[in-house]
Amino acid sequence: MNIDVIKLIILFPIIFLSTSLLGQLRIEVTEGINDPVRIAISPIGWNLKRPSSLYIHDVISSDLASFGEFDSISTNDMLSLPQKENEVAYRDWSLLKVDYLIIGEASKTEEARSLEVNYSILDVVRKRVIHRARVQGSEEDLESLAHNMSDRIYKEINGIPGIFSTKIAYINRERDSEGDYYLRFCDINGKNDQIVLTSKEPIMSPDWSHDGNNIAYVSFEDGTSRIYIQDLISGKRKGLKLENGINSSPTWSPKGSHLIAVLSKAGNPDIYKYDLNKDRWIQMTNHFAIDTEPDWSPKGDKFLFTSNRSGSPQIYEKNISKNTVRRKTFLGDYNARARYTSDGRSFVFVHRKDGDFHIAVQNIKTGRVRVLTNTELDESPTISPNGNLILYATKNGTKDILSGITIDGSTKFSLPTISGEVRDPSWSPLFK
Amino acid sequence: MINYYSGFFISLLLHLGLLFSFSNYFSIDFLSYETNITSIPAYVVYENNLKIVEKPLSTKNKYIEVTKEKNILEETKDVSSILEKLELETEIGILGISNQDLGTDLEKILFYSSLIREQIMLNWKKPKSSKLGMQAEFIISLVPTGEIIEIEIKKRSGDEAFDRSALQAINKVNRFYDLQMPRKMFDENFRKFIVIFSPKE
Amino acid sequence: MNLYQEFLIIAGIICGLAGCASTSDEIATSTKAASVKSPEVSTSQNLSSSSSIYFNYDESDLSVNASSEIRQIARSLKANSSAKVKVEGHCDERGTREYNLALGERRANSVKDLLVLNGIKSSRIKTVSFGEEKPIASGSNEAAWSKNRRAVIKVY
Repeated sequence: MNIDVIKLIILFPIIFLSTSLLGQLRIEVTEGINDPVRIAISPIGWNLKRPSSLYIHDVISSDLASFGEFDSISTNDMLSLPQKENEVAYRDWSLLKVDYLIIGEASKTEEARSLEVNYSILDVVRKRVIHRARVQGSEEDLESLAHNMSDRIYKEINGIPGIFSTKIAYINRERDSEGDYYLRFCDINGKNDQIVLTSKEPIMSPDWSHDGNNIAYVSFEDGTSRIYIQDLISGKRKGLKLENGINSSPTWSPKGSHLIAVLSKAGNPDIYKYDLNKDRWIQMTNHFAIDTEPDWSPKGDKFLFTSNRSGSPQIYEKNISKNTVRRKTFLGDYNARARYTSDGRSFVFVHRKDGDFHIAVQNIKTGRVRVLTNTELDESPTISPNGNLILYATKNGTKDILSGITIDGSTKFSLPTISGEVRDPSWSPLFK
Repeated sequence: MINYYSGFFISLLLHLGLLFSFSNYFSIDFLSYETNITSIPAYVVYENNLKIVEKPLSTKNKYIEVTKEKNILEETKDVSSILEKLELETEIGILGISNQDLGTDLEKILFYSSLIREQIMLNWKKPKSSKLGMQAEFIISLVPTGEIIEIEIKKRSGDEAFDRSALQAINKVNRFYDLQMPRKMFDENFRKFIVIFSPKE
Repeated sequence: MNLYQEFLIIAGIICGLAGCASTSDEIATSTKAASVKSPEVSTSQNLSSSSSIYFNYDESDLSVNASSEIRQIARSLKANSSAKVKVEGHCDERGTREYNLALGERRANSVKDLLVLNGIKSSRIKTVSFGEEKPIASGSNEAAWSKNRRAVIKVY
């Protein structure tokens, strides 16, 4: 018998056997629970001479618990207060059903100029360290350092960037019918408020540039609507070339070289693009209806806008290079003020249902709409740069306030109220 | 040429041998079908011993023959239906066969699988980064008490936060409860199985 | 465009406005929203008169009363050739701010178009929209909203 025959003898039963082999059981898990992640921040050790101005662990705990995503254990409930990895007894934390533990120590850097915090994130369930890092900052600005740590911890556990170092720009007035108008911005927790512009005439539609250095807005100081851009660091501002009629609704291009806005100089409001280098307006839509509220896509290839060309306000999308316009909203008779999410897959907008104005989100690919709010006079939605949170203007009785909701609609939140009427919020980008 | 014939014949013998040894998986009982034949009343046999024996014997034989054929037909039918079920199960990803009545077994396996799924689900806190299309696979090893003794990462999703959340969920379960089942079913299906995490949005 | 064509267009607009005006008049009687405020003496410099025209929700059409008030203003403007007009368009708080800026402009333009129709040169009329930014009444109810849906005609 030659080799081929032997192969045949051997292969035949193997081929037969393989067809009778049993496969492995496969179970698919597609859903989880909405419960917040339980986190414990053990008080950060302080190895400096001067006492700290604030407790870092307090800032981080309250940051992470802000939006219902995390549940922070209070220090009073902690069974031990480890600062180093070898001080951690996992049982102390698993008893409290903690998912993740953060420990760390603050000390002066080698050059003794600044402060550094060495911290570790521990997975209590799996009993292991999952992340070690060091952040540096100044003793004077401990709060920023703490927010930075919150951002990193959030990213490690949630997979998307944290927004604890971002800011909100907004329009404010002491009282609805009198006093000056202000354009201001503050930290996400309401602190460190700064005024950008004070005016006797209305201010509208602030929009942060993508690098976080400039704000565009509409001011009525010239007796009519005019768009200004202002450098936040120097305070220098520039008015865009004033045209007849409406000059409003500015939003920045991703690279910061252009703005997209609304002009009605040709007789009716249309979308125009402004070249900041050439100080030139370029028409982007040409229709006898009202075209307004444009928003540039994250890639810069399209923009969304509101138009009543079909009879009532609806959201449309224009592909700039292909020069095509497509209607996006078909639910109800008033859909306006769309803003893309940072991944460009969805947009939030104002949706009127039974006469009430709500905030809704629509998936661009599937067209699926989710109405997020049930209050009645909601407007000006702005999305966090990590795409997870929406802040919008609404009314509490007669007062203008800002309110927030997570994009999945599960948790409502609010920013600590600033005195007076607050409206027209704009979320800053992530600062690098 | 002769070598090929002999080779083929030997492999056929091996083939049949394997068929015999695995016969219990396919419920093919070559030797035992005779016991399925309904018995004929003794007096008839006795009476037919002398004269009638020949006639009833022939009819008896015929009867037996017929029954035999019928049985074989039934058996073959069962095999094909079993094979059909096999294909179906491969499709839905669950394979579990024993020599008992198949319908109840499949149901049992599906039931325990959904128990396991549920217990993992109740412990899974999906991270914000989770998106439709992400998929992580883990091989879980159990002991008959339901306790997890090993978790192996079979396929990562590419998103660390996602994989970690899945691992945390499995670890939190620690021991699957209510998994009382015949030992054979456990050994074949639940001693080692795969869990796939794939969110719907 | 020659005179004949202009005449046809103006005739068309009049018919259109007449049609719109009659419908809004019907609505006006039921909601009492479209009414005219009598001219008042203004305290700001150079301002000789200020009148307000009111509108229905989401609309920029002029009621019959509004139209007659505007015609009166046109007549006084013709008598005083150096006078200039500023029309401000306003909205109530409902709806998005930017869209309301456009709606306010439509209301101001409605008034301007009627003034032009009544012989006032377009260059004498300035329009500006304030959208919902300068309400005259506060409150989230129809009483306040109806007062805010207005066009203010200021003669200098």
